[in-house]
Amino acid sequence: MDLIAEITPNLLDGLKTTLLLFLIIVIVTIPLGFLIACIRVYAPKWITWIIQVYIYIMRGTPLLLQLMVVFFGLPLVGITFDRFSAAVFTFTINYAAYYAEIFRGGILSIPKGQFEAIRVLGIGKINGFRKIIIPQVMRVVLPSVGNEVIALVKDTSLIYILGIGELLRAGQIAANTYASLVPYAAVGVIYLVVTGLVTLLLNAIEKKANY
Amino acid sequence: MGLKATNLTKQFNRIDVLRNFDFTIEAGEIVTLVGKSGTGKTTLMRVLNQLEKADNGTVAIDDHYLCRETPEGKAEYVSKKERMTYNNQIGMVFQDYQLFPNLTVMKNCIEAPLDQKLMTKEQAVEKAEQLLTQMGILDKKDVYPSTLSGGQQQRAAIARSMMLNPKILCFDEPTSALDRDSSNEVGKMIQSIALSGTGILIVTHDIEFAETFGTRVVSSDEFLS
Repeated sequence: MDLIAEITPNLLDGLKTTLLLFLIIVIVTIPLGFLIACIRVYAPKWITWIIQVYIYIMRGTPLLLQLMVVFFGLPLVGITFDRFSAAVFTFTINYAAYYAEIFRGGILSIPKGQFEAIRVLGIGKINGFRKIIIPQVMRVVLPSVGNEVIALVKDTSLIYILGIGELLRAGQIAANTYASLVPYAAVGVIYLVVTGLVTLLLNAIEKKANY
Repeated sequence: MGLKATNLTKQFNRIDVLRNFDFTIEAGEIVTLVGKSGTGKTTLMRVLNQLEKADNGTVAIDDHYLCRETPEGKAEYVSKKERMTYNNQIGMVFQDYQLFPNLTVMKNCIEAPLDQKLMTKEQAVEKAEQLLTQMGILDKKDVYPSTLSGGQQQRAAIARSMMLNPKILCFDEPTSALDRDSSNEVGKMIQSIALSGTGILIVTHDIEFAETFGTRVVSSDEFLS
């Protein structure tokens, strides 16, 4: 019990970094992914080709490797990030690629007749997309988006490679310091609490998006 | 007065679907379009509703043009604004209705007139209530389409298509999902709409329905004159 009381401040400190990264990435990448999906579906061929290559690279290589390339590799060509910015940048381009594919699937799942009905009724393209298509897309993609959001909570632990003190690293240090497995268990419980809360939030959103 | 199409030509992959086809729908008339699958019945309806472009010909409803035949034998489409005016003279009920699942029946109806700023919200709601009453589904105005039966969805789609008082109303295979009794009911409903002066175009492969409810039956054999 004493041990837990002793390590808790350090773990909470690590949790702060984890949550900060998580929130930034969720807020930035979901709209960004949607935008990329729209471009991928509606833009001229050569642009969609560039996006396909980008998505292929992001999904085809480990996130850990991407982190290393951005933080250790890019300085070689004169682009330098501080540790946290490197993490934010890498997670953004990686997660946006996954979301783009999810949203693309969502847009393609809407029957052609819905777009035709919007046209026949004389509803403007932008308003039709905003009020009629997007809500349907959201409903389709919510479960998959939820999956990615949960995965992100845990993926944030990868930034240990950049020497950033996030939750798992804090646990690791504590485990080494006290030669005990208790910190790892505590870290596991904290991840479960966070993903549990995120799951509840996602369920609430899914319920609201239902029609 | 009504819809007039002259010299209408439409090709798909260099094969004529419509060739120099002349066609009219007068006010209050129910024109049923019959013929085998793949002979262009739905294509004609889609050209009239701007979902396909004609290669040649003139199309107008009263004096609102959609396209005019040029001396070179091409269909020249009018400006976007004029096409919009034409568009509001014609309505279409899709075979699978295509109600917007994320909007209530009422919102399905009022979205178009509000988006085009043709009515105030009060006017649109009043008009929708009147049409939903006529269709016998006013009690469903606040529910989502997924909770309606097929027949009710069709009525909601008809109400939605009549919000802007179109002079011409098109139905793509309105009886394809209905049994004989329900088909007759829809036929009677369409007759009552025609009585108020709306010209009706029905694409169907149900010959019995076409002959019972059509005031004029057109065969797709006439498309390639």
